[in-house]
Amino acid sequence: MKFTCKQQDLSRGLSVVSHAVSSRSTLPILANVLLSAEQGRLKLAATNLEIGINCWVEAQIDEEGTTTVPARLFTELVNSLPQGSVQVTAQPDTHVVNLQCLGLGINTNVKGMDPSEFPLIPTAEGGEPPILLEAPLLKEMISQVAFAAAKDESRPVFTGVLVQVREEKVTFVAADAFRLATRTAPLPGATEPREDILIPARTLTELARILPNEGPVEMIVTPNHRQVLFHTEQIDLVSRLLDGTFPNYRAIIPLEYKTRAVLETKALTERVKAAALFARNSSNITRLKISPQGANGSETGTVTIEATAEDLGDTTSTLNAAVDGEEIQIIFNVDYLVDVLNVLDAPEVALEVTSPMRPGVLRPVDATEYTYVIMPMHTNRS
Amino acid sequence: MRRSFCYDNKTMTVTALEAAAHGWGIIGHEHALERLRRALASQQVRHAYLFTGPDQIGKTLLAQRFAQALLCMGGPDPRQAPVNPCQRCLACRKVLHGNHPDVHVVARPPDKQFILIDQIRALQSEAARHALEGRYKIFLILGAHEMNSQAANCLLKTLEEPEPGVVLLLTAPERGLLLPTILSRVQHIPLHLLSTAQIRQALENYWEVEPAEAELIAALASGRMGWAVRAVEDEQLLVERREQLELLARLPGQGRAERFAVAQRLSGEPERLRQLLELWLLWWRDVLLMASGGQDLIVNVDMRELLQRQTALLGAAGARHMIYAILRTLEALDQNVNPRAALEVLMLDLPLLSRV
Repeated sequence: MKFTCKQQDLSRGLSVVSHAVSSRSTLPILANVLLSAEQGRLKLAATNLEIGINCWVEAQIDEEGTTTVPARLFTELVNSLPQGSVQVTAQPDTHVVNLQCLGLGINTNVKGMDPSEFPLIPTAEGGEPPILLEAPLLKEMISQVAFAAAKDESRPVFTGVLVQVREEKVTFVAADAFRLATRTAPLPGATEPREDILIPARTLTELARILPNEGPVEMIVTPNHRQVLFHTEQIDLVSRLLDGTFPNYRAIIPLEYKTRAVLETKALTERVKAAALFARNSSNITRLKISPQGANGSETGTVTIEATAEDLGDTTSTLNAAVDGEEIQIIFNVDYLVDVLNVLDAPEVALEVTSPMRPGVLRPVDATEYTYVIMPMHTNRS
Repeated sequence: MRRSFCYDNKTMTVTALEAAAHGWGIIGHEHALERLRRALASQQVRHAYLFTGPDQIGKTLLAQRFAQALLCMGGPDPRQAPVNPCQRCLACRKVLHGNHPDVHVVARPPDKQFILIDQIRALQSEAARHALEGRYKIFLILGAHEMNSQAANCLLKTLEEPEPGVVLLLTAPERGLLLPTILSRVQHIPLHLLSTAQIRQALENYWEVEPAEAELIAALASGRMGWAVRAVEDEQLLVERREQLELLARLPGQGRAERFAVAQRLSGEPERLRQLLELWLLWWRDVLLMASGGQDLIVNVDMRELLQRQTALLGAAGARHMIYAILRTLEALDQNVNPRAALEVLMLDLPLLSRV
């Protein structure tokens, strides 16, 4: 194998695939990056068996071939090189990779491993027809949903994000025992219903990190329904799918509300974060009091956010809001509010509640189809 | 642990060995091999096997070869596991190099005392998934007796209701070291010490060792093929043994000051102490054998003269006295007695001879 490419390109490619290099794997080959010079491009690949990433880099291929190099060593080595042309040659029998910077007198040999033992990363061929999404939309959907997935592995289905395609729409859903986030986006042309898939939330977070800022992304489920592939022009990410059935999440979303308050997102976020400073010391308890216009003699509807920590003090903020319905008090876990407010960019959000014991709903007040359900907390104090 | 995988450092000989042993490349253990091959031939592979036997006897190697056979793609029917691993297909090579994604090794982390429950939980979540490349998902639990009770109890769930295609291969020195609840859920395959003749022959045939050296190594290996192979590949091992033994054998002729100096030096390397004491135990075993007319069974054949001299001076009673003293010291070390103190007591137990 022999190819020449720019140091910057190689370095960028390596930093993309290094997201999939496992730091503590039992298989020695997984600490390696696969370099594959093929059809006028250089392919870099890495996998930790959970996710696999392929990245294609511009290169002048002098001789096709495949080899592997230790990921960390090679990445740090390439990063240490000055910008310019890098020539890489590999001996097929010894797996020694030679790297030279032409004209600079830098000559390095790196010992690799037998590339045939590198695990196969599936390609886009043979799967169902792809689901096409624009990269910015996909990134937004991931950021708005993936955080709600459970972090602990005790119930594996909740560590995943459910992806549903129905009636020209694609829906992402994630939930743990206390909250649920769902985001729907139009998917013109997808009239055929697809099988639901469960993608590990960690994978999607990783995907959002490496996706380019624009361009289409194809999502393809492999023929054996065990893996999903995200394909872009330069990067492929493959992830294992989770087994198991996601519960019927629609049954959890309240269909009606008794009280609805519309607030400015920015102001609400600031006040909730302030309340969090105190709530962190008392089980994250934050009380919200929603009062319609006229209650307590106020001219507009208000939402009062209150948090108390025994040894720190307390904070109360009152925000003006357009309130519809009766007065109500409800307690939420402040972290669950902060998480969702961090990822919403609509200027206004609506908070809908039914009773202090029933789940509340938070939605952006714009065209985005987003729903966040949050279970209230109960305390013995009134 | 890795070392015992290294039968294959000498590629030439191993090819011959594999041809002789149907691709398993295992010396001896015919009974165990026969059972595994029968299970493969009848497609009745159990979900869990336990290999027991002394250290360096080939438990891990046998488990690894079994894993190769289970995943080998070189058989006549690619959907079925062949009776013997072919050692040529990609799957066999991957297992050999520890690169097969469906073979997982669980062992005690070097910095921990036990195999911990988190390792077993990780095994379980891995077991719940589909195999990536092969027909089976295989878990090698090396030194299964090193699981603490939480880990062992946690493993029971997998042993009771394994997912389809999951095969657990456990190794342990003795079955008595495992929980009865584990024992009742695994197929037990005991491995026994090889005969000295078996080892000598194997060393001569497959490792091309000179007959005299082969005889010495085979005797010293005391039935453990893994140790013999290590001794062939690592010449330092034999040199070190000789140096240690000479140091120990000279001790009875030395006074207290020298003995205490040795005790102080040896106690500085607690991890090698046990091995050294076992070596010495073997020495006194030889003295006892010499004294009782069992010359043919002695292990330290290269130092026969020194053995004879000590036997003449101390006799069977002296040897027995030392054997008990060393066993007491080993026990004391297990119970966390200060190594230097334990060794000094042992040095005082050692009879003083005027000439050795």
